[in-house]
Amino acid sequence: MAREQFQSLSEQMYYMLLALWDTQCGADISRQVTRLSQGRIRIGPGTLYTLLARFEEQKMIRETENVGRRRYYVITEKGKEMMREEYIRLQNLIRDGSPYLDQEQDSAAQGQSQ
Amino acid sequence: MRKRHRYVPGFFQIYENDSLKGYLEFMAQNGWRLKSVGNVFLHFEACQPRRIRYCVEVMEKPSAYASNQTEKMKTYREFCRDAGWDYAGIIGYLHIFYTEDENAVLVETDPGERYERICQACQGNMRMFFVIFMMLVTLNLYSCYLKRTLLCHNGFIAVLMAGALAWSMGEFYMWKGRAQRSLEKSGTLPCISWRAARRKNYGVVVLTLMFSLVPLVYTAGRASSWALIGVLAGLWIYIGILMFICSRLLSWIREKRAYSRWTNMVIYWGLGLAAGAVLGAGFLAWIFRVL
Repeated sequence: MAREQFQSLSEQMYYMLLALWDTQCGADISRQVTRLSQGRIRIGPGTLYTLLARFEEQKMIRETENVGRRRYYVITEKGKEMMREEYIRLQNLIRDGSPYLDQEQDSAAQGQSQ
Repeated sequence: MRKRHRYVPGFFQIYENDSLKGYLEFMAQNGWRLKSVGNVFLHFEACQPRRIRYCVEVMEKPSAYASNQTEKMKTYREFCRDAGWDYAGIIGYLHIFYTEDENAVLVETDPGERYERICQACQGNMRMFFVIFMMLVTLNLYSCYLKRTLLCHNGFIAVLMAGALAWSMGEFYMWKGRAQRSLEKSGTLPCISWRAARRKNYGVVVLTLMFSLVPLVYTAGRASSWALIGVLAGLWIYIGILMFICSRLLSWIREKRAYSRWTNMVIYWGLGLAAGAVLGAGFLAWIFRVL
């Protein structure tokens, strides 16, 4: 079930799990994602809440403590394993596309310089 | 002397949530901030014109009977509050958040997820309307069958109801198609201007009210006594009061209680039918007295 739903992680999921390599709570996760993605990815509180609930249900993250209503989470071994698989998948995509896309990029750069 | 309060009907479809957002922001810039949200009306209060940002969202697993006071919903609102969004209220399936912080990230930032929830909410709504409308169409067609003709006011009402249902479903599926194309092309959901949405929806409401008077006008043309016209008018008042009671009942179970969706459904339909029966008994007693 987890593998079907998270067959490939969206950017938001990917960065959220990356942010949860260290224990974080809600608002901190959002800030960490923005920092890790250099401002490219911003997660809204509603989306954050929904994804945290799904990750927890799939045992990809676990709650470490609950201070008032502030819940702290960290990624589990299962979550790390899925992240590694996703990382390898992305590397394979880059490796396979490099011969074509790097060439195109070089041509475009030469065209611009001329 | 300028009015301090305005009550405006919230005639926006579920998939017009971004249009409602645009309308609320327009009102704030023109000196009216949203004070509270009812089942039908939006309550605005006069204020200094200012920029207030709104988010209008459908929750996960949307249901008209879902309580707003469960731990899950409270935690969701706390997440939003921590991110700078305060909660204004709920109208139908639409939850309204607001902030004056220009840097606050939107409440929901996954357009695909927003699209799924809107579709789930609309389809749930449509199933209910389909059942109610088909019952009414069937009853009217049965009357036509007894009269051996479709060319009567029952036939006219059956055609109108079927047409209204088809139009309502057609609108949603057209939006759904546009949304799928827009998501593929630009990763965003389509949004019509709030002016266009309001104009269309107000037009539909006015037409519905006009057509609902058809049986009354038809009967007035043929009735031999004012009593029958009074009975029909009384029937509309009965329906109006019952709808008001059901609306207040739904608000109460959603806002004051934290029961499960199924419990809320049982309470709503149980008490609603009981209220309908009591009001109906009173209405019938009044009819017998009049006639």
